[in-house]
Amino acid sequence: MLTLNTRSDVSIDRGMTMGIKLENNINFVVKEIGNGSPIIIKRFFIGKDEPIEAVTMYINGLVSKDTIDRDILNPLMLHVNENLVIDQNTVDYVSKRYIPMSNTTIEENINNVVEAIKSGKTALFIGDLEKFIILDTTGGEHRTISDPLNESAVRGSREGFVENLETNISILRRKIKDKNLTIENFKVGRRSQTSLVIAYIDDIVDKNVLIEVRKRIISIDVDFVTDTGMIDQYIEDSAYSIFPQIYVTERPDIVKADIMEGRVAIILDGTPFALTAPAVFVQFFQGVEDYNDRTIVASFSRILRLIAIFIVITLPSLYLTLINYNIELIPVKFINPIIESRNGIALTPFLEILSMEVFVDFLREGGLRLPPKIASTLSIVGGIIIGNMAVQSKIVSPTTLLIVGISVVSTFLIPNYEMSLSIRFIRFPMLVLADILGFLGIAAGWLFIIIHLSSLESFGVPYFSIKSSDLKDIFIRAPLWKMNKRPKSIPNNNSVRQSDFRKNMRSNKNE
Amino acid sequence: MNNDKKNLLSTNQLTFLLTGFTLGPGFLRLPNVVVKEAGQDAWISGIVGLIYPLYIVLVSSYIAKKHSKENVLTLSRRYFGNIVGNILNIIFMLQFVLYTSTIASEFIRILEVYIVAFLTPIKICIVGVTLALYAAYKGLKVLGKISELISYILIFIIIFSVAACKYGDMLNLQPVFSTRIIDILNGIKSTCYCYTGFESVLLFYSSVYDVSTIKKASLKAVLIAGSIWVWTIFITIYYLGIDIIPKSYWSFIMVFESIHIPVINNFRYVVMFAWILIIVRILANYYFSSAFIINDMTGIDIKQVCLIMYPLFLYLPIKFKDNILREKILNFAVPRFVIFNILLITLLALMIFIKSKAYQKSNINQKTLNTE
Amino acid sequence: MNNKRMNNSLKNKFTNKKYILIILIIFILFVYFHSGIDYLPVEELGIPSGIGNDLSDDEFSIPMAIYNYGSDKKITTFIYTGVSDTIAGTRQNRQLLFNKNFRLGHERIIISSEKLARFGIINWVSIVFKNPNINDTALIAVTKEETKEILNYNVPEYPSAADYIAQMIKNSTEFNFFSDNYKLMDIFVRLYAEGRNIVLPYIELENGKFKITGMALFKKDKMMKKIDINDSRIMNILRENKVKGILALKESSKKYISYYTITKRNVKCERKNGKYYFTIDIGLNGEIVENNMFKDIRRNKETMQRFETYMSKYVEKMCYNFIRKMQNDYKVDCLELGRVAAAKFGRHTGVDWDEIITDRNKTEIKVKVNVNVKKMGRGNY
Repeated sequence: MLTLNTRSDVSIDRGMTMGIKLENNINFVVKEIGNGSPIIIKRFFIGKDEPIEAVTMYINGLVSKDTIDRDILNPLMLHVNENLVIDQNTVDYVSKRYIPMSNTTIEENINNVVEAIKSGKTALFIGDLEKFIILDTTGGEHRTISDPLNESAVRGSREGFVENLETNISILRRKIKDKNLTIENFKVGRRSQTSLVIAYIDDIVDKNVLIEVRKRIISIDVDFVTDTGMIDQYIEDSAYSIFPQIYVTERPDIVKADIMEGRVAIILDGTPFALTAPAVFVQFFQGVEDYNDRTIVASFSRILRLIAIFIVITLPSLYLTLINYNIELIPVKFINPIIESRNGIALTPFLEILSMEVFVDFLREGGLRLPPKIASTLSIVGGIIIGNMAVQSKIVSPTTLLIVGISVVSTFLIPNYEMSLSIRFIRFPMLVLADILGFLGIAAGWLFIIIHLSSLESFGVPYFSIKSSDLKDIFIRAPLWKMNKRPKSIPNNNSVRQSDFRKNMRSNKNE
Repeated sequence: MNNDKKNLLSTNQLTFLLTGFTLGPGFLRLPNVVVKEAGQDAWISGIVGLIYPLYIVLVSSYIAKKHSKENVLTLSRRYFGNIVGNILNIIFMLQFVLYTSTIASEFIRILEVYIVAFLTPIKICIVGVTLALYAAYKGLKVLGKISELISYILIFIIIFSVAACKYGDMLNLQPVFSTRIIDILNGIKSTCYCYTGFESVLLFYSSVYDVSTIKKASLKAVLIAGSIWVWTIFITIYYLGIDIIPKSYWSFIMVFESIHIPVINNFRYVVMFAWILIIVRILANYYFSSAFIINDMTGIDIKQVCLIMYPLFLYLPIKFKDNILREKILNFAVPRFVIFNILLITLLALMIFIKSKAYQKSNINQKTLNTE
Repeated sequence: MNNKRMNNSLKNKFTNKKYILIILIIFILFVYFHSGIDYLPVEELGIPSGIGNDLSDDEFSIPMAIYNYGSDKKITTFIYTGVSDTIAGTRQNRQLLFNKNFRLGHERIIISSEKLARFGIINWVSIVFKNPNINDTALIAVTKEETKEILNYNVPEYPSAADYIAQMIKNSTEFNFFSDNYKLMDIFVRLYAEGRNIVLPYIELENGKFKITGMALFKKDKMMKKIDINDSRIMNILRENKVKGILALKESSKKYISYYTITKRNVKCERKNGKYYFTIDIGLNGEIVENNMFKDIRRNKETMQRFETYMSKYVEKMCYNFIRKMQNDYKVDCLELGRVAAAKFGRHTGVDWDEIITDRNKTEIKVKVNVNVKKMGRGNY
């Protein structure tokens, strides 16, 4: 289509065809990006005597305009003191000579140009040439790297992932400088086209697991994806299981450790939560500080955690069974205080414990989303006053409140949030089972959990397997310098991760 | 991780799966039945009676070495012909069905008396059999894993019974070697019910990942199970003396009542808790084996078979709760099944031996023919 | 295209139905399992603290001491007695008086009156054995008065007399050579075992206070004799192992020496020409708690040896006295010697060990005592 350009009559035979192709390209890009997108088109001239028309296109808000003004428009508009030759090397020449930017690429496919513009890059069209320069000017406002809010550690780095994918990848690359660290890009979501990245170490990861992860990600066919939680649910093995099969975390040091053991990390643009697959049951109970603290105290915390898990699941149900059915089991010294405290209580034991558990969960859920000032009022009013008054008005007995309180406090020991949700949930069916079947119900509940765990799989890796060589890291935490091999429960190609270097230290001491 | 390693049993799991077929509710009563015959030398009967499982395990590992990919059902069809082989398989299956029902009925009886006196038998039966169904439904590998885990719990609990040593007396075991041989032999006969179960290795050795270790694994299983049995008889006689043992229906449990821990009133309940896990495990194993044999014979998908057999396994244990009926059937069936097993395995091994010798001979003949 | 959509929607309906079905089944199961259970939470049950066994007019009378929870954390006791000709029948009879359901499992003591003990305790032992809930560590004793009286007795600041008596028996092991073998479990193990017999503490209400005044000797399940506290001490030395008590040598009313000791007992048995020879080796190891007789015992080795010889001779003399009484008077093998013999010479041979051991012609018992002093306190005044 002919367009009349006031300056093009300088060299009219070239100008006619030049203008047409350029306009075609511009219209194509605008159409592909869609109506209503704030794409900015800046037309300008390059060259002194025989200026060539050039166009930059970018989407407002995704770029840092300073970079465009300073590094693209300034040199091209003001400092090109020669006449450019129009041939196939022009674009290359211009990019190498006049654009003082670190990240430029030459694209020949206009579709990729569209993609790039949508990610916040700037496209530079020079004349009618079919080669385009893509300049990385991504900017815009993002959250800075800060303390991960939900998983803070006493001793460990304070960095947490942010919403920007580039920043997250950069954090990861800073931590792992191995040349085998591979990062693959995907786009998920038909309409949202969110960038997804999987990261793994090439010579450690097991190829079958990798193929499985890739296959599942590629097969996701939805409109949009907001958070890795959705990806988690789309690709996990058993959707109806209580236990999470993919590990979610906000901390880069956990992701780094996981990748080093042979797992695959999945990071999504727009959310600070990263996934690592495959996951095994015991890793949900290993916290970051376990590895940063010393052996004996870290083993002690591990053992405490183990005890806490049993307490959470079993204690309220056991208490219910003892009071309801198996009174002869209550230790002789406790029988009188328990009966005295239960005298005159209005509710049956089952309803009592259930109502207290539900109430405590109300408190917890309510406190999740409150602004901090109201949260403290909630804890005082809810926890102390209502609890106290419930006892005094004989709705519940003090022993019950104590038991429920202990089990609630124990849930706080579980490091991973998803797993603590699961364990909190298990309490309720266990309580119901204990009510209808007594002692047999508790045993049946535990059996059910064991059988279910034994049959779960996460990306082809058995979920619950305790291998004797991995025992160093499950119930206790053996000294770090003894963990020479990677854990066997995650399949990997390269199992040696450290050597017996402490031997050398000790022999030096003797000399 | 290749699929094989994931879906087949590891050696450790085979060991514990085998003990998972034999260490069941029977051995709570084991001191009762053996002491009735052999008096204070019952533990000698226990040790000598281990010949039966040892024999089965050794012959089975020979069969496994020769035909490592096929289980006993296919082999019996091959060597004895289709019809006879199928009949033998049916008889083989019958014992698993019988034992599933008797174990479930034992489960109901013990629980009724000791823990959940307020539940009706049918409810206990539903709970136990449903859990066994769930485990059997999930397949062999899951059974192997839970057998391993629960066997560790079992061994842990047995270690606690050592505490009864404090209250017992060596005098209860004396005079040693003073019972007649015929009594000891009778005692051995009465251990048969508890010692059966090792035949299951014939069904599952083809599902093991590392075939060369079958012999070692099954011998280890016999060792573990055998030492637990003999220890049971020993410690019960040591603690109670042979006069008191007949007075309790499940005498081994009385041994645990001697342990006094500060908070727990009666240690028996901790044992009972572990016991429920143990019995459901063995129930699941037997359930799975029955379904496995039926699946092999008829080709119906094994999960469907499990579901189909569910009502049967709800009905039979309730029927077997009647003590007299149970005793009659067990007294009739157990010795005959034991002899059947021994004969079947021996015959099979003999035929395999003869065939392999004949094969070797024909090979040698071929070779000599070729060289000529 | 339409067919496909219809198939899909049908499939969806079916899977939805499946989940609704599952939820329905779970609900039905829940209701089914919950029905028919009658359980009572713990505050509505009567918890017995002690059980008594009496015989009154040829009928069993079983009083139970039940805790009664009052206001201000004060606990008192009510006694409910059931009377019937069978022990299980007493439960029925008692329920007519009782306002709660009772559950066994926390009884601290189970006591028998002497009348019932002489009649035979096998009845209540067998009913208690059948019930798995019973507390196997309940302490057993025989009382002179009716157990109803004993249980009803009001001990100040104690919830019930049963608690007091339980603690009394438990702490009696400190002196008097009592052992801790008076639990229900020990009765089960000893009652019909070959060569063993039961001995139980004998409690009386003296001057408004409970007192252990001796021991009751049983032959099988019937009480034969009550022996006084001096004889009980010797019997315990000869019968039990690792028990504690005080022995004293006396020269005059002011000059004596007291010795707090732990015993160790070993029995050997021989048989020659149809006659049994038992040797009981007793080792005494202890400290001198009181010394007004041998002033230089610490410095002088000979004095120590003299003390040891005197003490062992003294104990041997007392033992032989007791054995004579046992063989002539009591006619019960209360030293559990039959057990050692059965272990050596065969069980279930039809031999009645009580008869053989108490017959002086068929048995000869020798006692050897060895005394050792290990501590002497902080000085000698």
